[in-house]
Amino acid sequence: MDITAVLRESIVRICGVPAEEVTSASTLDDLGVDSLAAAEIITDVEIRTGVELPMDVLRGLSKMETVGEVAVHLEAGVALSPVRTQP
Amino acid sequence: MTAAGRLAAMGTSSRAIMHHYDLSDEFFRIWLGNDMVYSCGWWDAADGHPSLASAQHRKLDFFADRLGVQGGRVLDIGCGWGGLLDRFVRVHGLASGVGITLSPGQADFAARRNVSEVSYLLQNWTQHEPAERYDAITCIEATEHFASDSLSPDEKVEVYRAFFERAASWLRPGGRMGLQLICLDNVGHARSRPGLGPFADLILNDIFPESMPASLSELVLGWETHFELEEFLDHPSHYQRTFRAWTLAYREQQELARELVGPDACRTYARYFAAGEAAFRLREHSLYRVILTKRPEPKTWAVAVRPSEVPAAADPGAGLVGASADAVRSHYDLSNSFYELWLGASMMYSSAMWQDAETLADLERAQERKIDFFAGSVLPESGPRRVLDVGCGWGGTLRRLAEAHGMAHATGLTLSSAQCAYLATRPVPGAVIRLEDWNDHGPGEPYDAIFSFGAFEHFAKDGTTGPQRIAGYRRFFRSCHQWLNPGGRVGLETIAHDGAPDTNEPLGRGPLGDFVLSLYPESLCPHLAEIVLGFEPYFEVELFRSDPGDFARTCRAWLTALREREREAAAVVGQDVVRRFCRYLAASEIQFRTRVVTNYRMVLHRRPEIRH
Repeated sequence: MDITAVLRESIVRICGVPAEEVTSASTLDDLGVDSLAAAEIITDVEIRTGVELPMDVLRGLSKMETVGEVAVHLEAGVALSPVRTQP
Repeated sequence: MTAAGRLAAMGTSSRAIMHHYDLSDEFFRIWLGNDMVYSCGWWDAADGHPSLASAQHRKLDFFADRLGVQGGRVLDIGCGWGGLLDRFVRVHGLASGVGITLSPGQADFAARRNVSEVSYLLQNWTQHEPAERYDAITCIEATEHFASDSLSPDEKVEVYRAFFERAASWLRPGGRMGLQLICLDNVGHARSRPGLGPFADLILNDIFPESMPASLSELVLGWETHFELEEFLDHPSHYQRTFRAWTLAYREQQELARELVGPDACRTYARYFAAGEAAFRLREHSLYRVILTKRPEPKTWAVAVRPSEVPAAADPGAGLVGASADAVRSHYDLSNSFYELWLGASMMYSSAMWQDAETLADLERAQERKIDFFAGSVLPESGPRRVLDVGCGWGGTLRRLAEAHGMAHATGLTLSSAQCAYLATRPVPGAVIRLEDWNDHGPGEPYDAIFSFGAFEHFAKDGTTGPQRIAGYRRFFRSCHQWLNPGGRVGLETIAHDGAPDTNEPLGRGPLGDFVLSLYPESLCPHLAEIVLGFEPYFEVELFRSDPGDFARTCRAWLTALREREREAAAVVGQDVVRRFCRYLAASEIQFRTRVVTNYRMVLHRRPEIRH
């Protein structure tokens, strides 16, 4: 599964930014993602991919992180964490 | 005097510590046994009749397990004769340990155990300067010596705050603390002074001079800034059995004891064992076991609560501090059919209790499990079982209690007209539903049990200060005390601020907190110390859990269900409201997962008399 593609699609849908503006190098701040929107994006990606972000990553998430960096966290989440909220 | 020197002077002096602990190692060995572990053991009913030694091992093993000491580095504050660190190294693979004590005899004895991984220091906690950070800290029945009997509750809290701040600075990020605490329970601070009865005189003059147990609330005020609560256990009966075991062991070797310390000391100790057993049996004192985790960042406070600022237990005042009925209705009266789409058939709008292997499809079973869990701890074993549900919602709790737990009569209180209307068409057998604020409630007959799930969040208004909220909580718990039969219990669940800061600014907790609050106008969640200060004069705490993970999963289940029915939901309440609820459920899940907030569950037992 291409987690980056799912993440980008979520950002586009939830924040209403044009798809071409969401690159791997754009920070959450650039895209106008505040902590509330970030919460919605993360749960959305988790629901659709079965990933679960570990708590320390979730806690440490900053709006200066790029889309690419968030995607790396999400990909690591697959390996690190049992998916407790999914079948 | 330095700050450390001043703090040290507020606790038990070295001279007073030596009076007790340096009496005679051989005398202590008679009743403590060869392990020389001088604290409450862990006795399990399922074990039959375990030996004192195995009860002590079990206690040490519990802390080793919860603190994850394998390969780690541990500080033991008030290390006694070194039994804990000895076992952590030999049985649990501890890599290195430091024990501190004020007793030269204990330090010598511990060093003679020859465990090369551990070093022992003769020092006060106020003097400790670690060479490197610890993975975990244990403090087993030492807090009683941190604040002397001459201190006021405000001064005690000052000491405990300094202690937990220092302890947090010695721990690595995410490091844990294991506490075993003797606390004042049914006899409060004012009545535990020297000169106030034979028990206080014996303990404070002859056994532990210059010492004083804390009230639980004083310790929570001490730790809440730097630590989050992982686990809390109430085990007074374990100390009752430990004192009995010490009595029995002592009696077998009374002759030797008399040779070692003389007849006067022997008489004093025999009385001390009996008094200790009685104190825990009567719950004048309780024994708590607590696991804490260091917060990523210290929590900040708009108002640092001091015990002297908290309104009196007998009269917490009359001013209302809760959310208004209109504010509560703006959320719950939205539309019954909207909530039915995603809360599921049970219509329970509070956290479920999940098992690991369950999936979102098991929401109903997990909601029932929560009610069953509380019913088993709160309802009397037999009798009429008159129940009050404060904030009864759509009746899910009462329905389960009637169907599965023999509830005969119940009253449900709600402020929501829509919930009342729902229950009028789907009545719960034996239940009367009242559209009424708990502040106005006056039952005809007392209740045997009170339940309240997810209502406490509305008992204090946004913009209030800690002392104002505590006044409101005290009024609630005092009402519960009045409404309950002797021996009655309260089962309560509430969302609470965990890592989130305390602020008296309306809407000031950052975008997540502000957004959630916009859906629950006026309401504000409590902090842990406020809850404990709220119930402490009126109730013993029998069970206390912090279960943020359960609520995170429940939010996910609701969000998933709402998304599946999004079109139907939009037809009922409009697309904009559905969007706001989706965002609120996602935001809430993240807040629970990051422990900005948590979900506390507690079972409280009515005190025979209000504690002052």
